[in-house]
Amino acid sequence: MKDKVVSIIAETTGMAKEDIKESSNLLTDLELESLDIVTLVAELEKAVGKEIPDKDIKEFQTVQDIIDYLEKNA
Amino acid sequence: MLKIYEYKDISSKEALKRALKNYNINNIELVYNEYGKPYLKDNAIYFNISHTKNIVVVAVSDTEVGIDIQYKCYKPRVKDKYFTKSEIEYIDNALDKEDAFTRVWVKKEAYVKMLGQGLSYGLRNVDTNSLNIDVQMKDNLYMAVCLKNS
Repeated sequence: MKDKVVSIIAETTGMAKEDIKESSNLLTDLELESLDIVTLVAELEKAVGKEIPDKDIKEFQTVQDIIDYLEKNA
Repeated sequence: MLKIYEYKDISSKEALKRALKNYNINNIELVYNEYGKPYLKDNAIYFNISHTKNIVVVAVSDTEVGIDIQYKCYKPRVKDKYFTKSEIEYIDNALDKEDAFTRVWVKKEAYVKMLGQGLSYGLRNVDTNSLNIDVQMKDNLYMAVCLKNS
């Protein structure tokens, strides 16, 4: 799941995979904006085939949070 | 009272510091609501921040305020998932889809940020066609500001 999430973040943002760590904070480290985050969520949904409700997005502070969420819910 | 301060090449934190200096607020103490929206502790001044690339804007008001800036873009998957039927129709029928998408996006964001719930509110629950929010555009940078009761 980690590789999948990192790949999707890299594709969505244009960042290098090496710069995306599990501990990276989406806002402060990766400097994602709201539009980046919802784009990322839409791509993650496509990849895992499951809807991610808007209310769950606030749980995504770090890359690890996304990995944990998808492992638990996907 | 609404004032918008725009800065380049500084952090959001520094931008807020500089904006609030205009109100003689030098010691910034923040509290957060359950969705993470920051407020000044023990102060009736409201603010909201948005950034994109190297631009940061700070809106300061005496009422709840939300602001969003975004460079012109078009994200079809975001449109399909987060926009209402009438917003999708508006964009699909527009000659300039990037322009239409970006206008809807900044209005939507400014509104949910004003509410203090951000994305948690459910972007599909907001139909920007029914909101009276102006969008300003300069050099492909779009900006929407939403005050309470807009």
